[in-house]
Amino acid sequence: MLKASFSNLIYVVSMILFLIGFYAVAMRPSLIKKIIGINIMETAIFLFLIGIGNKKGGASPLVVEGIEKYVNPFPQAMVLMALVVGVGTTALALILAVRLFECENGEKR
Amino acid sequence: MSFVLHLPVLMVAVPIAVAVLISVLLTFKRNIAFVLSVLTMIFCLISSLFLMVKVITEGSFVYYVSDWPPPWGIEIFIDRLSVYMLLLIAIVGLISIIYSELYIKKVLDHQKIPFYYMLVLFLIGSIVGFVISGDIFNMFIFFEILSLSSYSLVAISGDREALRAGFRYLVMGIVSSLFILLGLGFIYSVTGTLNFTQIALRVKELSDLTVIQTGALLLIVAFIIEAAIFPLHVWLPKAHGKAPAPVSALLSGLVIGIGVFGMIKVVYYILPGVYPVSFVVFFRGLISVGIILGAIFALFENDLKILLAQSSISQIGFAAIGVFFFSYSGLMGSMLQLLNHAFAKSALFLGAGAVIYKTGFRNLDEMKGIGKRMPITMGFFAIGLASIASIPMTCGFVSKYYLCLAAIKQGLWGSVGAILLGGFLSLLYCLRIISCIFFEKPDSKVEVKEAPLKMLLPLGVLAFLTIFFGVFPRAAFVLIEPGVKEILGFLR
Amino acid sequence: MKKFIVIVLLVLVGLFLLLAVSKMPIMGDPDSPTNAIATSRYIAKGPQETGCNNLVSAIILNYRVYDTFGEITVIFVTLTAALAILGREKAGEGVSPLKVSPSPLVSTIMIIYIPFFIVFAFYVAIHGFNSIGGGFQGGVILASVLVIYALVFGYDEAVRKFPPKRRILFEGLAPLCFVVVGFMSILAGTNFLNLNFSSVSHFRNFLTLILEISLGLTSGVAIASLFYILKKVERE
Repeated sequence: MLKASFSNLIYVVSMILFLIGFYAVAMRPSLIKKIIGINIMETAIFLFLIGIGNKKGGASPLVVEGIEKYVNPFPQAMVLMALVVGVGTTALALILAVRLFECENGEKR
Repeated sequence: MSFVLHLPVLMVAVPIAVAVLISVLLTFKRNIAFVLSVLTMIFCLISSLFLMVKVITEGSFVYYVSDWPPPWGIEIFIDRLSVYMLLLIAIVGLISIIYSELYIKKVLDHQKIPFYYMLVLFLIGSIVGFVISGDIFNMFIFFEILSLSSYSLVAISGDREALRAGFRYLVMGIVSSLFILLGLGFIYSVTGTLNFTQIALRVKELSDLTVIQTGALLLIVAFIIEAAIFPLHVWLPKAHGKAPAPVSALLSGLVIGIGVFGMIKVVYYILPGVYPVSFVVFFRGLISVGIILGAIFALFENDLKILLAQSSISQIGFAAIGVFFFSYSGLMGSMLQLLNHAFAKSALFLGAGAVIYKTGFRNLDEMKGIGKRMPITMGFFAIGLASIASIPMTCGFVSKYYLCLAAIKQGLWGSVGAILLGGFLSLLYCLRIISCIFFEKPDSKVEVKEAPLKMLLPLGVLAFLTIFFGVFPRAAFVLIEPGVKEILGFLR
Repeated sequence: MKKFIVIVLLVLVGLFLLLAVSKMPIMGDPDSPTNAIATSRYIAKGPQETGCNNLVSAIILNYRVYDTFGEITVIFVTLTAALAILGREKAGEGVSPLKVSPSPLVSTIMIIYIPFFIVFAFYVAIHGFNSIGGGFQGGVILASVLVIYALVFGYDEAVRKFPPKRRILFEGLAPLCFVVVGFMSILAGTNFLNLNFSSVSHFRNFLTLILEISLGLTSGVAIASLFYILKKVERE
């Protein structure tokens, strides 16, 4: 198990990052820190997906004459789409947090 | 009849396009949103009827979006069970939108009304997209639209409690969608594809199932969060209780049911037969605890809408436990329970909304004897309660009968106990509500009249459907009996 | 106590995930199932079948364009939610002019640079077709232009320059473009969102380009609108 983990070090790192993000989401009371935790989790998964698409010695997926080996473009496309989705969720989380902050401050005044 | 093939994807595209159009037309005409959304929902209902005829006569079919065959393109997979879900979505969606007109005018600001309809249309379109999708990544995208629009519909009123509930729902929901993304990463890494049928083919060739089981487990946990099953249900009561009533009806009737349908997709379509016994026993145990706990919480709750939300946790547990029996009667019970929950729970939320619309009462104590003042509204409400409490001649009885049968056949006495105890507790809290609204002495100060016709009619339709499928459950069997047999065939 | 439970739970989940990771195929292995399937079509036939030399663009704008449709809808849903919860900003509402007027150096440089930024945004968006770039990337650069404008010249000036009425058309552009293209392909007798429906040469490339630019415009303007809406709250 240990040896196999070393050859897949990026996967291991991304899992650890994922758990760090999860800890922030679960334990931090601050809304902004929860949102940051969510973003850390997202980044960890992107790292994981990009790692899956890797190929030793492959060029980036732009077809140029004379190159035969390319990395797998599909995980990259997936990450691009998931990134945009991530922007949407983060923005909505911020909107709710901002509005909540406004409400709570309004009541104190 | 070839246009029928395009209908499923149009049922996704048209609501989304109409919602975008509303935002563009908003500058010219403000009150067009309601009419357009009703027309869209009627289109959805008619298309799902066409699809029903198509799958009954010719069986399930696949549709390649942009004509690329899997595993390269996206496949849409229409079988009897997904058409059954589409019908539920179209009916409950149409009814909630018609009901919304008066209710929303009262609870929301004038400016927010068009955005409300837009978000509901996005919700409907994405649920349809989620149900018909045959590709995990596509499911993830539509799951994301679905959850974003649900969070914002919960928080739309902008008061503090609703925003808190919405934020909590958002955090849980985002974690659940990230679990889907992580799970699909695991599945993709060993199979190289995200298409259901292709994955099922590749899994048979694999020698080591650890990675694929991890992926499946992550997906199931994600749908457990979405379906609000026991340890991860904490977001549900506040979110469904604080949302506007038609939104609660949509969220409680459809969206958590979609979580269960997602589980069915994972367990039967994507990865059939890779589950070790310990998984299955563990999930059955969790769901059983959820069924009982949800009913106990409901028994001691005073706020009517939160009570209904707590009872959703227990009721959706019934639908989810049938998934893990892996038997014909279990799945039948599960699908019937989804129907029961969609109709009865929506009717209950709409009924509670009618009371709030007329009187502003939210707590049960205030509603003493309201059944004498609003007999028709509360009559429909009582029919919904009867179905939740699984009284014979309602849909709820049929579904729980099938679930019990499945559990007894397999000798799972723990599950039998949970189902019976849960049913008994549901009966208790329903009796508590009924005795409070019908048999207690009303406060003579308040003058209350019947809810307006535009609200009564949707309620009446839902109550009628609940009774209809209780007396003639065979009407639903046309779709689900062959459908269930088909997906059980995938297991072998 | 809660902390302890969560940490124990996380360690358990972590061990479970690490076990799964150790069983995964070795990273970068050319014969792993993922690479085998991708090479058989995306890489071998991508440029001929889609007209895009950039394979990522080929996937998001042709093989899996339905996903992209869903994805741009996500941005639009977020914007709708923002409008529903916070409301659209208005120029000059509760005006609080800039406390510090922009330094002439900064504003002159910005006026010179902004056209180039916009050209660069469109370059990136259009160039995604054949090389590095793409609609979303160009859109984000476009959004940064609108954001920088608001930061340098003040929020009110920016809202006056790019009023919501003018932005609203761009915000809904991409989802509508996708649906229109989808209907066109259905009317031409193929499946939804098939870009290869016409036999006219280069028509496919034309459609891809239209979708790419609409994606750029919509994502850029929508992200900028989100910024303006959030900024409105901060000032009030």
